[in-house]
Amino acid sequence: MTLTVVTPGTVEAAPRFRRRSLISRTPLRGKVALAVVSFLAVIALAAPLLPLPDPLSGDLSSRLLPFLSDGHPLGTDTQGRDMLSRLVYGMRTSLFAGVVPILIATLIGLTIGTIAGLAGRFVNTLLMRGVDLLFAFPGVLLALLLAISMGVGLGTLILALTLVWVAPVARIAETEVGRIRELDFVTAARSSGASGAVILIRQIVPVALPAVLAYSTSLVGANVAIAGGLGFIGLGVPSPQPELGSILYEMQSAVYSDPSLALAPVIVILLLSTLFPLVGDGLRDAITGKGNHS
Amino acid sequence: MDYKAIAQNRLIRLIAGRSVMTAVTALFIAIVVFFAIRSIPGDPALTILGTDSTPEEREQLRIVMGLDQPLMTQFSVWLRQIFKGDLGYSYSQGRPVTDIIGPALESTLLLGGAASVLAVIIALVMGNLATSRFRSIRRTTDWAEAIFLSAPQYTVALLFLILFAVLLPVFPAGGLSTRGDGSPSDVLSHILLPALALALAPGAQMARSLKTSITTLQSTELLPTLRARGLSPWRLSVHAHHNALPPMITVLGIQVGAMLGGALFVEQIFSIPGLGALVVQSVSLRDYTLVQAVALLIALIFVVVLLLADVVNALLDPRIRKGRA
Amino acid sequence: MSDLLTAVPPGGLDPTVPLVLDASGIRVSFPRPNGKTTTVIDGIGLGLEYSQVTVLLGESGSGKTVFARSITGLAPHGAQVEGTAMFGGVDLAHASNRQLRALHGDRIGMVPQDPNSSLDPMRRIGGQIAETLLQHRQVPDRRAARQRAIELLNQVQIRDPERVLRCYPHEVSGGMRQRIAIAIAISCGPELIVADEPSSALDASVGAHVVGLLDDLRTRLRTAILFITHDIGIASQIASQPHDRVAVMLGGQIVELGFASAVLRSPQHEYTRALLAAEPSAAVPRGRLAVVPDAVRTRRDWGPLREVAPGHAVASGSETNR
Repeated sequence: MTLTVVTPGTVEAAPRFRRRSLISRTPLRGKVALAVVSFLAVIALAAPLLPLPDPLSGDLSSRLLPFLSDGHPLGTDTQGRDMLSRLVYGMRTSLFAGVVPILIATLIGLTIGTIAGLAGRFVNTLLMRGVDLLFAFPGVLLALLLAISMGVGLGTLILALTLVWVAPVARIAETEVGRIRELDFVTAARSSGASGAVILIRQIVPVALPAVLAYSTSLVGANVAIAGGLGFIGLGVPSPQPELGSILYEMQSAVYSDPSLALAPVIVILLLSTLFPLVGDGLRDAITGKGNHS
Repeated sequence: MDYKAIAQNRLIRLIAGRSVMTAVTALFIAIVVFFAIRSIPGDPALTILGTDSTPEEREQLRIVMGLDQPLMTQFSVWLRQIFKGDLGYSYSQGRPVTDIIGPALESTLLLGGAASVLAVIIALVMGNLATSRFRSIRRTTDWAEAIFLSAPQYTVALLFLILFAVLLPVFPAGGLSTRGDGSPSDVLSHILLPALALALAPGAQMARSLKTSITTLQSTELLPTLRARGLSPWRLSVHAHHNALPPMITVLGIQVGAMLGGALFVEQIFSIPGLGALVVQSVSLRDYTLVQAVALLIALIFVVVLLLADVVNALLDPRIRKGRA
Repeated sequence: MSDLLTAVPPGGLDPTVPLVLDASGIRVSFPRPNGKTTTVIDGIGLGLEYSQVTVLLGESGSGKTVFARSITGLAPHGAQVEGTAMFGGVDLAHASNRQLRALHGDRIGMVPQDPNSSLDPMRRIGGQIAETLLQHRQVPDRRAARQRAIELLNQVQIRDPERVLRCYPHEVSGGMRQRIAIAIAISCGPELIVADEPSSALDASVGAHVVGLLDDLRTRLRTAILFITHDIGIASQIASQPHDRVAVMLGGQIVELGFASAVLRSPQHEYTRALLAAEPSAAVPRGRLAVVPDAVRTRRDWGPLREVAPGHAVASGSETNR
């Protein structure tokens, strides 16, 4: 009996792999959430163009009108201002305060994390222990302390929130970079003459980026929640500027008399907070290839 | 005392190391809190005395408050005071801070304790449902988990208040007890809604940890091997949960931080006189001595809880406690 | 088939002794998400006798683990099992969970493959041994359980059993953990032991000791052993008695079945021959490495077993049968 290694013809044709696009690999939940979020974002951005009554001016004589009143589909608040309009403009502020700090924090965190991940043990320990110290504060508390120390206003709110989220992003980035750096392709790059941090960064960062970005996206939801929370205790934008958290606060006093009116801002905040993590999860599943069914 | 054996004992070294780290963190917290408060724009003396005070009066008050000293001196003075047990004087309530904090701490601990218990229950229920044989149960649990995880605690609290205390007056709408009745069942009915509002997110987070642990164990040899020994489903469950406990405890420790943060709002909404409500009130009243002390306390509670979680895990998990042979 | 099982070798077993496990017509299939089912094992059977080692020999993917588990009531999750596997009057392939729980650990013992994950890392070793004893009511109380545990550890040649009882799994070596797993498997005096590659995760010398221990135990306890392995050397080590058998599995079928000495020394099936030829040894002259041809490895229709010599059967589709 002759022993041959492989007999062609007995091997089946190899299955063909086609890499589906990122969007198609996102599970249904993520896609629906993304659609709704985009819709809300578009509304928020286009707010000045929409035929909405002025969110800032109200007529005290028409305070706390119920749903579906004439000209006020979602009723009015305690100052007689149109609720729908305030919610739309409030969403504008909240989305801004929700997304911008994450963007900046991702940039800073990614930088710190990459440096820490690529550097030697001493620098790494220094940076990461420093970052860990920030973790000692519950996020809300840190945001609160920073916000009050810097004075009230949208700019300081953004700044405070950014600082809160730099630490988690830096941690994730450091872990990713540290993991990727040990992979074979990096060793191959190094041994083929690629030296210097710049070249390593160009190799490693693009691979680390998806995981970090997926993580950041999921942070937006939590950030919107905290921003709203700060608004809820009066540390957001100064009133009468609408902001979802402060709207909620104002409606709190009306909870006993007109509880259903307070439900409107509650639902909007719930929606935003739950949709963003779904988008983030969907993105993460798509990137890691788990979401192969749609 | 066999000092050498103690020094070599792994468990003790672990606790000592973590305690040192905690102490350093505590110092850092004190620094951040102190300098954050000191950087608040505006003149505290002005806020306290009002606009119709004279500059001399304000200057005098500043000297009394020690505000004319350089910042570092102020900081060390403050630190020393804390170690002596003096947390300052609250101008908005006219009492020493220490008197105010005591009862508030009690209320928050009660709320936090109840919330933690509820979170564990939620975690056990949801974690086990998430590993059920039936696909529909698993999917429903996943959805619930996603919602619990992301819904902000103040929104949920308000929702509960509206739904279960106002629209359907099942539960009392605020406070810790109905006037005159301090019985346990009364306190329980008052604390249930706020504790539940706080417990949803941590519970879901812990449920996730439990689910991951169980599915991992099922895919390793452990659970199938134990089943092959003919052990009853109850004993299998005990083994699985015992192994899942350490990561859950770590998650719980971290989530206590989230609960402390959430307590700020939930106490406000349900009118519970705890530390969180205190922070909110004192911030709006610009009583910064109080804010300082309470913020410090909250952050310290958090790091101590984290330390405790690590210690409990070290005690629970023989691999950590005894190290490799 | 029954001729094979009752063929008496010189100095062999009494043919009228009942079988410990009698499996026939076993078909195992898994439903796929797209609605179809994949049949992994298609209509094979096996009979196991007391004091006898039966080796399931094959490479990964041959179906040996799925088959062994299916006929002992430990089928993987989601598997559909047809056929019968009679053990003490109970059909293991279709028994209720309660029946299976009563048998597993008590009359059927299992030695797992990975010594690192077969013991609960959070509990002491003594407790884990006692747990099985108490579950199957082999001992009246904890103290008796502790005594019995010490006896068991002695039986598996562990020195200083009192100390080991108090240890946690990670504090002892892999070889010791495997012996402890064996101790638990024999703790209630089982009639059948299933050993799924018990030495493959251990160093060669440690593994050899473990295998030797199992061999010794089956003689003393008269247990039947169903031993799964891909390693011919280990197969020949465990099948040390004349009445021990080897079943060669390929692609979900048994392609050769017979007494160990016959199968391993004069293999009739081309796959078995190729396996033996591929075994590295100093005696083989230098040259091309022997490889099992693809045509042989991927074929799935070998047909039923046909006896070619007393106590030695080969699949009808094999070259030697034509």
